[in-house]
Amino acid sequence: MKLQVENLCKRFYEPARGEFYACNDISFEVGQGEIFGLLGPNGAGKTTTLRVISTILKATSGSAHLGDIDIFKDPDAARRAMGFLSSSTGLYERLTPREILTYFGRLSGVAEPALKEKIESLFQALDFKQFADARCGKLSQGTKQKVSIARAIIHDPSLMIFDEPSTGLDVLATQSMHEFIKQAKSEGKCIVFSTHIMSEAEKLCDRIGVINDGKILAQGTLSQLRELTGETYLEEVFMALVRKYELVK
Amino acid sequence: MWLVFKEVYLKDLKHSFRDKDVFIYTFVVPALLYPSLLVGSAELVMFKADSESAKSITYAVSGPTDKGLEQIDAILQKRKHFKKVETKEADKDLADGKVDAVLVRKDNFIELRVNQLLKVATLASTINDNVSAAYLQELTEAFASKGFAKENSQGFAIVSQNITASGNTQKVAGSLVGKSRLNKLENLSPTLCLLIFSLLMLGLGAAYPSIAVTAEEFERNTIETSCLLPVSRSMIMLGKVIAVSTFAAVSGLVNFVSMYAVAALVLSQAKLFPRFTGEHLAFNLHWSQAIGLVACYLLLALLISALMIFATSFCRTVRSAQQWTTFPLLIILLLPPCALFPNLELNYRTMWLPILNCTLMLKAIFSGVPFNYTFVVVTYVSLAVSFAALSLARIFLFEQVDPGAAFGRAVDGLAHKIKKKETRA
Repeated sequence: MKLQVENLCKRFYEPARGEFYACNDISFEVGQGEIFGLLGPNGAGKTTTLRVISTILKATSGSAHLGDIDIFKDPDAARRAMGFLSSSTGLYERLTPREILTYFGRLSGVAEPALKEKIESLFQALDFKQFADARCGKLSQGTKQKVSIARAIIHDPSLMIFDEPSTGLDVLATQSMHEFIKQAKSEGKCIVFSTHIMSEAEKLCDRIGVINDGKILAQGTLSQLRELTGETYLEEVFMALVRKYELVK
Repeated sequence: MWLVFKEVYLKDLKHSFRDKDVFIYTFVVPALLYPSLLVGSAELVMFKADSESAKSITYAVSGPTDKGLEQIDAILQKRKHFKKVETKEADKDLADGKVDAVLVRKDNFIELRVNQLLKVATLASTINDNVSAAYLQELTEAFASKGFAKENSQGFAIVSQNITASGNTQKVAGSLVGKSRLNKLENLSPTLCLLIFSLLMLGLGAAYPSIAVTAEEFERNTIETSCLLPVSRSMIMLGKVIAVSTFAAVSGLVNFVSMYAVAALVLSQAKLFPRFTGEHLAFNLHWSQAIGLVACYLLLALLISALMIFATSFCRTVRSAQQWTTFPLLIILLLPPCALFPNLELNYRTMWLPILNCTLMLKAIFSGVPFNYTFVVVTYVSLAVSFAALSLARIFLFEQVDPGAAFGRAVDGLAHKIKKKETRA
């Protein structure tokens, strides 16, 4: 399945700022087995963009399609085909990983005999079987993130959205997160990934969209971005694009 | 669709039940604290009554006397509780507080008038209890000896005199001889009082679970994962409100059972309430009344839970929800006891006021009022208010609408329009 986002806008209101666009005219495409990275500083509009695509927020304007599914017109069908993972694990503290996976699996439409097997295989694959019946509130941050990953993929989605997934994780947990993203790519999943860590984007992404002030300043492969700016390192590429945008503004 | 409801209901039930705050407020507080307070209050009342009964009650005889009045006067003089005082203006002295009571013949009725001030009214009740318990036989015999038959005899009653309302008298205690003329206050059964007081626990029992299913979901960001589920958000809301209602109903029920047990114990031991015995706590309900009471109780649990979910859906953290819900909770807690006012009944006016109307319906069903149109209106009003509250809560929870920002936006829009109008003018 292919993700197509066109002219996506999301307007917010804050008493102090009045009305403003958190993402403004965002367009990009992500193919099957491809990792597209949204790279930008804090407050650039990465999370809002991903939340709108994942139907958590309603778009002010624009469209998004996942294969034949119009994400905004048929959100339930889109939700069945996507998994969302953010840095905040979003787990019920007083439920166990097994209870959480059963709950999300059933509500995502996974049939009962297959669900049990799927849960067991996820425990094995992500290596947290020993914590399967402990309450989530008592788990370490790394284990919580593993449970969160399992929850996001329990229904085998074809689109995976990762919103700064390695924030707050230690080196080992970050490493296993990267491994998981690579594995999802090898399984042919379509992956959208947001980060403000340059090295992470450089290491994982097939194509990168540099985002600032709610707008995509440039997008392409790393070599295309280098060519566009004349810089070598991604950090310098990013700074050059931001400076250019500020000048135009 | 029902699978969604079932899953959400069980998940919220399990998740909330494991919260120690919910556990304490749903089971421990209603089971222990309020019954303990009931015992404490009963002890206090008994202590107060003992000290009051130790004092003698001064009384004067007013107006012309006859044999019946003299007989009563003689009976009272024999008792240590009563001390006769000679006065020329007995009614004035009663109003001035110089005497506690005035014995008077009114038509063919003998009254012991007492001041209606709260302290004295309590005293009147005590007097009546004393008289009714100890002197009933003596009085009956006295009347019989004077030729008054039991069936259609002249009565003796303790009445309170409202000194501020131009001599109007209002009886606060029952007559002893002849046909019983109990007022509405006396019609309130202790069981009904306990039932209405247990409604307070519906509010307290719903408070913490409603915080757990709304504000805590925002704090832990689990609301985001719920938003990503390919299911109807209305069914998620239904699962949440039924889970909270379950906690509220269980909390109220635990409270009622424990208070009922304690009340039965207190009444069986206390000499203070000779007119109340264990029999007064007995349920003498028709099966249709019992079904009506259960339905009404559940309807109230649903309504209060929906209102609490609405109130907590404004909040984004548990702490802010705990602070913010104090005021709505207070209102919810204050409404049910209002149904205990003797003159407040379910009618075409009160049936529109949520919570109070349900409580009055409960009172009406308990008192044996037959099914009528007001019951239907109350049910519709309660369901409509619950639906409206949950619909708004659904918007605040799932549409990521920040009520503060929405309000600010509306105010800004209004200010902008006014400014535009002024500029045109």
